Amino acid sequence: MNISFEVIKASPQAKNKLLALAIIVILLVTVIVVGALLKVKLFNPKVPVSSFVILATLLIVGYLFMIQAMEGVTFPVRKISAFDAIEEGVARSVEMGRPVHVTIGYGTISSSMAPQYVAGLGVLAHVARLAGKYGAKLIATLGVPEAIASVEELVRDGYYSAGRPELYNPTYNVRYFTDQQFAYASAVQATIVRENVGANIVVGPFYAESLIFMEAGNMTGAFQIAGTARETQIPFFVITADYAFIGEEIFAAGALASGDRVVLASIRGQDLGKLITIALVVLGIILLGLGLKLSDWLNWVWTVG
Amino acid sequence: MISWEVLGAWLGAALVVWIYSFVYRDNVFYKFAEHLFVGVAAGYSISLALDSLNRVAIKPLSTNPAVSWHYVIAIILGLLMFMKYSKKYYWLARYGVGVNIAVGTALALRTTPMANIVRQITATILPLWTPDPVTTLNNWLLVLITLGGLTYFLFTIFPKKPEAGKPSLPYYVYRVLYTIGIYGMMVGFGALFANTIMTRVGFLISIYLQYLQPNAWASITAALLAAIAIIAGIVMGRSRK
Repeated sequence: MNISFEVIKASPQAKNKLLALAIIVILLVTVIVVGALLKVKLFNPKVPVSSFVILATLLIVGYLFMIQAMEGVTFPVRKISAFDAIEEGVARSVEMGRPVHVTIGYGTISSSMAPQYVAGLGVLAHVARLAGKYGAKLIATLGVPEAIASVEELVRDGYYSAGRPELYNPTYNVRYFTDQQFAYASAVQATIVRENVGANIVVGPFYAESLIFMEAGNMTGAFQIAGTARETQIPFFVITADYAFIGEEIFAAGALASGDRVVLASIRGQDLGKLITIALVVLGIILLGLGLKLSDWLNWVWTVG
Repeated sequence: MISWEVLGAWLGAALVVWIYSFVYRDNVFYKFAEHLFVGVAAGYSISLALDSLNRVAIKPLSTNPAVSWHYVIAIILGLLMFMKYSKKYYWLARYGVGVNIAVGTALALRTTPMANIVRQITATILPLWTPDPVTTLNNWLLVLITLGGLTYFLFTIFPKKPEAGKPSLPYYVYRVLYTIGIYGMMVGFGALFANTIMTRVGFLISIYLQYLQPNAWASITAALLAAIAIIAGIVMGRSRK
């Protein structure tokens, strides 16, 4: 008697999902095992349970959106003027025969500012592709030592993907100064003025140096596009730049620049978080009118033992 | 007698003026101060990094490797970054950068739900009708601007305007909140701008006081001489052109 077995082959999308789930499970198990071995406290009894529930919900929902994106679903993104203006800035610089300047900030990438550096790198990748497309000279300055390799790669890819490898010159295109704030700022402002840049694109986490860069760009009459999620510096960019990314717009810009549906799906996950926040505020106010305090429930702490 | 303190005041005052001279135009004195600053800062960063590597990883590993073995992982990831100099294995550098970015993002994510969501919600749940009219107005403004700000930052979930016919009620609510969000943020940015300028001016005054304290005459003379040198440098530069 012949018995034939039918081999059911998993589709590439199903494989991707399984792989992603396996990675998540392995990471969770690793964290728990390593935490137990090193005697790290994995539970903080002072933090309300609601924050964990919200974080877990957003991660799961974000993951589900990413799966949808992998399956081909596209999410519409509202118009971000500053993002659309980048191409105009690069094209104008080429017309004027002047270089385009991009900077992503200074410091260390392993800080809580990492998402902003990543957004800055996303915008840089977009500018590099446009520089390749229009044949623009690109100068990327930075004060983040860990990001030098990434910045060099992004600029090179931008020129190579447009079929213009001859325009890539790492010593001219990528300039690392130092990770010390004002030394980096003084070198960047000098670069903007000496190279007489036509477009000055400043996206990332910025501190007191933000206005210095904008003033240097103003001295050369550059077309200026700037953005940061650091709320103390946003006013300077809003006032001085031709186009400004306000706060979280830099993350959306980074996702748009990548052109990756999966990255855009993560923005949809964030949006859902904002909608949950809006809903909870409205619900909390209504309940407060009825004499119930939602704040007490949100601040509930689980004390073990 | 010239002391180190007086020399420090001279150098400090001159460097401040040289750096400020950029406001007028780029010149040789600014270039000197800038290169000195960048060089000193880069050297300082390298010494700090080496000291940190020695203190945090090498010393614990050499004295008690059984407890500190996990630092080897970080050292390997750090060394991978040097692979960028290899044409064949440059891709390995991405792993070091990738882990660094992931750690930073995780650090940001750790505090976000508590600081940016739970506290924000609890601080915004306010009574909209109180006996005090000022508190009532304040609460209304706070709630509306918070909801408006949140609505402004919705990028992928928003009601669209229909191509024909009347827009729906959610669309009107969205537009009203969006507009409140923009105006609310602009008012907030104005206040932040003014506040930051005040702080910066405070810094400026404290810097001047710092240089004037050790020896006021030395600082003033150095500043005057530096200013004369800059003017002379710019004039000479112009005459050469």
